[in-house]
Parts: sequence; structure tokens; C-alpha cells
Amino acid sequence: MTDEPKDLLIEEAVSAFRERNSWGRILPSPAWMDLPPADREALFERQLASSILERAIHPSGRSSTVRAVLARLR
Amino acid sequence: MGDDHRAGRLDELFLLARLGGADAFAEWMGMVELPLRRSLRRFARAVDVEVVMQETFMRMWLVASDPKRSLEGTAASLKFAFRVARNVALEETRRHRLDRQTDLEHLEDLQEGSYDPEPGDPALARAIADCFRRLPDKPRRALGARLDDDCLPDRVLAERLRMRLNTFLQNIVRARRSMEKCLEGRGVRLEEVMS
Repeated sequence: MTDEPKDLLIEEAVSAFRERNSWGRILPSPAWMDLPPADREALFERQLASSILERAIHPSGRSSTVRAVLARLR
Repeated sequence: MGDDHRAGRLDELFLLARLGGADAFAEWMGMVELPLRRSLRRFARAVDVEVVMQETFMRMWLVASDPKRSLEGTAASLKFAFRVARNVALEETRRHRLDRQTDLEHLEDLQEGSYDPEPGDPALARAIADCFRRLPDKPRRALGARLDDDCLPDRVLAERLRMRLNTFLQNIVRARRSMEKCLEGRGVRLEEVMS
């Protein structure tokens, strides 16, 4: 497999999983921190596309962002 | 569903969330997610938009749960969510530079919300679901792992699939490319849906 490292870094940041610190603050993805500004725009577009795909594919019709928040609330 | 009905449904869901309805709140989040995310495009270089989205939803849950808070007017919850998201984005921007927060009450411009135009477009959903089913095995399992689990770290998802993290990510990248190609073959351009 020969995908560009940039693509993999962007894909890593697309995940809705985010760490929290001891005060409960949601922390940026380490992958996001490593991305240069132009690639953060590419990430934004991929996150948006990902939300649309997830809503269509997931049985609940919920994106991973919605499910991540819901998991925190329950 | 027309705009008026959708706005009415949005307000109804937010009220139901006030009564402790996490499912109603989830449906509310689903209705506002895309317009809210689109509104944060200009912050994409400065902040992790996923952090802003999740923090905004957590704060909106607190608003929904507070009996002293009352949001008045049509689609008031969406309009308020736009303000909260903008403020969270500014906080995050400043945190990276100055490590200080702004006051939630000191909001300036109110950005008008717009509704997700086709939240339940069945033809689009069918096309996406069909293309997903047609993916090769490993890319489909990798992308599916992200969809089926409640937001676990990729490292854990990769282990479950007996893949190295890098291989897992490569498979997701390939899944996205294949999905895009398949959808284009059906006349669906994701960029147009996203705009």
C-alpha cells in the first residue's frame, strides 16, 4: 500500500474519538496538531463528507460525532 | 418536510431533550449537525472542528437540561447553537494562542442558521448504502468499524480487526476513494451534497 502519509494523517484526524484532560476538556486530535493549515482544510472537507456517509450507512442514521456525544451523556 | 415543519420539529425535539430525552437530543443533533459544521469552515485552519462540534453539543445539552433557560422563537435552538459554536471556536482559537477563554455572554454577530436541505434524502442514502456494501472486504470492514463502534480510538478498532494502525487507516482511505468513485458512477457528487 502506498498512500501518502498526509492522507493517513488526515484520516486519523477524521475519527470522532477525542481524548479529554482531567478537567473534562475535549482535546484536539494529535493528528490535527501535526497537520499544516492547508491540510486542515482538506480535513474539514473529509469530516463533512464522512458525516454524510455515516448518517446514510449507520442503522441509527447518526454520525460518529452524534454517537460520541451521546455516549458521553449516557 | 418543509422548512416550517422542520423548524417546528427542531424546537419540539429540544423541548423533549429538556425532559431528559437523550434520544430526542440525538435527533436534534442529527438535524443541526451539517449546517453547524458547515458554518465552521472558516475556522478549519485554526481549530479542530470536531472538538468545537462536540463541545457545542455538550453545552447545548446543558442548555436543554436547564429549566431556567428558555429559548424563544422559531428554530431558536439552532440559532443559539450557531452562537455557541462560534464562541467555542473563538475560545479554541484563543486557547491555542493565548490560553484564555471568552465570556459566553459576549457574543457579537448572530449567524443565521440554515437547515440541512436534504437530511433524509432516501435516494442519496440508498446510493451510499449500496456503494458501501460493494466495497472490497478489508476497506469495508475498516470503515464499518468506525461506524459500528461508539467512537473508540482507531488503535482499538485496528486491533479488533487484527490490522496494524497504518493498515487500518490505509483501508479507510481506500474505502473513501472507492465510495467516491461508486457514487460518481451513480451521478452523486459528494462535493455538491456537502456545499
